[in-house]
Amino acid sequence: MSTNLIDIKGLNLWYGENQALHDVSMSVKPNSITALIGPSGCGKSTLLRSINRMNDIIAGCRVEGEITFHDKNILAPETDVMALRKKIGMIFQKPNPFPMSIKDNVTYGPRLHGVTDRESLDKLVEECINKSALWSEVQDRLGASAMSLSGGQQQRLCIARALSVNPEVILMDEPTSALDPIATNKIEDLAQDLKKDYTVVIVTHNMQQASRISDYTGFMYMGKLIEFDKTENIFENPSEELTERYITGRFG
Amino acid sequence: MVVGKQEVHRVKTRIIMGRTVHDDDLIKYGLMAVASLAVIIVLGIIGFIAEGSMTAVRDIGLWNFLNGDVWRPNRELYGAYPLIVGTVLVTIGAIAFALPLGLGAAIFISELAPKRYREPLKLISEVFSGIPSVVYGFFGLVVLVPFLLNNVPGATAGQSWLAGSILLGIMALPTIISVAEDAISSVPRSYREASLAMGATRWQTTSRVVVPAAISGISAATILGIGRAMGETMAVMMVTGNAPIFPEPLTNLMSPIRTITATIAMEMKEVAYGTTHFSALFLLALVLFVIVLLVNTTSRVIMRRMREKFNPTKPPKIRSQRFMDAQEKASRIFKLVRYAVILGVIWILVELWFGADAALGSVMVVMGLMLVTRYTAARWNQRLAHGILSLVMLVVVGLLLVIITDIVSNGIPALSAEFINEFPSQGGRAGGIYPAILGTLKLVVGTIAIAVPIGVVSGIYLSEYAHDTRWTNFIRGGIDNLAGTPSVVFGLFGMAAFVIYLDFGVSLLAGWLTLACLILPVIVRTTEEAVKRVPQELKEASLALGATKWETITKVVLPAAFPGVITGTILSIGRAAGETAPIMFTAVVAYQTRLGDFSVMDPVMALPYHLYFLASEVPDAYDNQYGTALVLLIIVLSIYSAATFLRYHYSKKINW
Repeated sequence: MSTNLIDIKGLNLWYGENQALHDVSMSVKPNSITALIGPSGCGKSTLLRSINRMNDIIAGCRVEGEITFHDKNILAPETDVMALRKKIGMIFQKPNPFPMSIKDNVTYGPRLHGVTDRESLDKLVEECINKSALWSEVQDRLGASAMSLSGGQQQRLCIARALSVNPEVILMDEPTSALDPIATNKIEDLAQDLKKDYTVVIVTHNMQQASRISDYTGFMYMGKLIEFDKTENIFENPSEELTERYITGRFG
Repeated sequence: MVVGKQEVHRVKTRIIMGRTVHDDDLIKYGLMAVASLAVIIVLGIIGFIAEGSMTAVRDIGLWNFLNGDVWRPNRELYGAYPLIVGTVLVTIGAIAFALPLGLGAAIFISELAPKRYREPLKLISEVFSGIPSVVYGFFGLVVLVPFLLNNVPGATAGQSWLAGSILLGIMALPTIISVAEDAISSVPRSYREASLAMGATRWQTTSRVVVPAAISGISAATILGIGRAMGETMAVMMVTGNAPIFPEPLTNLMSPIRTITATIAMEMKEVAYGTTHFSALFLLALVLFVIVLLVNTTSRVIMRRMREKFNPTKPPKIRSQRFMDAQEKASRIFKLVRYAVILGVIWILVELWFGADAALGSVMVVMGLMLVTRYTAARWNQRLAHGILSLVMLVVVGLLLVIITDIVSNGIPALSAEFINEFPSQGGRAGGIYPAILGTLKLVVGTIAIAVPIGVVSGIYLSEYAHDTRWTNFIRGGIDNLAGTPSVVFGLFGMAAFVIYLDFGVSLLAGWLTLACLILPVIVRTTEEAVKRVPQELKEASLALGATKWETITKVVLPAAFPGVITGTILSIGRAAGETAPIMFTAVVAYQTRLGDFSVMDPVMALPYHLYFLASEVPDAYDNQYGTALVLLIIVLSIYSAATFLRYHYSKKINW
């Protein structure tokens, strides 16, 4: 039994003929925030999407290697992908609430997985929206369309939606890249809070963000994980020259 | 060489009535005048039809007309109520048939089919829309009607509401499939990802996120299908039995029934000009025109709302809590109604075939299934749903195959050199169809010559010059309305305007003008689309070299948009060649055994009308019926495939 929640070993991934990930190995500790940084196109989103097998829906995608979650290889064909995604939630680059009411957005997941009792759904809505620090802003208009919220509010709603199915891990794919600085701040604070109950893996192109909020950081370049370490080591004392050049802004 | 200011000025402006006018403005107003023809035609249609109805309104009274229970012109009884009910019932039946199939096929194509099958499957639905209405009618008459008669227990006639609804349903399929497929595949990918990332199955994602998000597009598709079905003439006339009665009881699917369109088409040929009866048919057309207008406008409004939803330009309205509560309640009731309708349809259909016990049984089974799937594993539900969707797709493809194979296999024995190049004899039982082929050719060539220049110019105006002024919106509205106007209404308009008012008589010329009005919107729209798709950079590159707007259009934009324009033209040729109702009263005769000198003032024979004539008046001309149907099908489908081929060819070649 390892102390890691997620272990990635020797992961190779191809989109058709293109190899997008080269022999990536890293691990994620429970109740931590792990950041993945690197120039665009380096494979960090691909790596993230491998963890909940969202790459499955891309035609021509092929994976080799091993990703274990609670010591079980999730790349094995017999994995129940639906159950896996329930345990490993995801927040996307652009806020993508469904075109439904705020409330229906949050109850969507629980309903999928069989919760029909209206009272417990209502309780869940309050709980999740509270956790995503949105409650005070929407409590009196839960029936309004989610599309009427601002971008930052939409993204926090998406977080509430992800929390509604009680995941253990939350994957965030550049969750603030479409938001303004104030909204970004709120999401960052939220990520810190979420760490208490959940494990967060976040992809970001914003190095300051990684250094501000994460415990561990991985630097990726051209589909390879160049360096993976505690965040303070990566930013203060990187062992690879490439990492140092990237974080000091000399390329990218 | 120095290009002085004056020289530039000299090139681009001229003086008209003491005022300096830019050439580009002159061109703009010229184009606008041509584009306005669409509005004039719509106004002309309304005007002539309304004018024609005046006598009836005076003699019968509008209320008596709409509310009267009996339609019996030889007794001077003009009650349109049974005809309106007939039209509505046939349409409801058609939608009950077409919506599940069309929606299922649309979902299958956009969500389930592997990528490489997607385009071929869409093509199949386009082939459906290419088959002329009279060919559907013929198929219905010789295959569907006998089939119903032999297979529905207790049926005394096959020509019935059910036959009409099935046939119209098949004809509404392509509209529903293509519009619904568009709506479903334009649901943003991010919605699907968000749902899948929460552990939803593909089917859960489709049924709970994608389809609800596309619901307005799907409703628009349905309503367009309704409009199409309501305006359909030939097919429905050939299979519904045409008795102007109410079904007894109202759910009796095997009752004969009569629609507004069929009444107009059947009686207009025999009625005397200027009588109350004559005018009553115009009033019927007016009623139909108004109904279809309302239906199509509704669908347009819904479509606009949907576009607004995905790309909002204004902030959404904040609704009060009470409003939202009411909305939630309404949607819950709507859900119940939906289930009730589904169960009702199942009941009526099963009862017709197998009796009340079986109907009760199958309704129970379906209800049980609905209940059970709430508790079975999501993966099993997905399997069930995907199985049903695949089955639906199979049925749709199967329907097309059945129709095509039937016509081809029965038509081939009739084909021969003599059939193509001889005159008909013995009332159409023997001989060939040479004058009909020639007549269709003449009709098409003249129609295209008239409609293409006007249509292309209008399309250029709308895409390049028109801003959102009131007048251009008016033009757009005119074109939309033309596109939705039932073909039999064009027929009446053509008769009133060209045959009678302009005194061309039943002639090639009147047919040209009528068909030109009919295909104008097709050409305008495809031209507009094609011109709009030419990249802005290309236009700017030309303008930056000092070209005028008009030079840019003629030398850069039009050549680039040429394939699109050609595609539109070819599609409209197919349309013009297959239409029957518009030429029935304006251009055709049933029978010609020799041709005189060519004159545009003479009537012609035409393939679609010849087929209708043989099928309805010469029932023993079996071989020649099928032969004519096959020739018509071959002509129209090869025209459509040429258009499709061109489109694919160029869409691969030009990549922007």
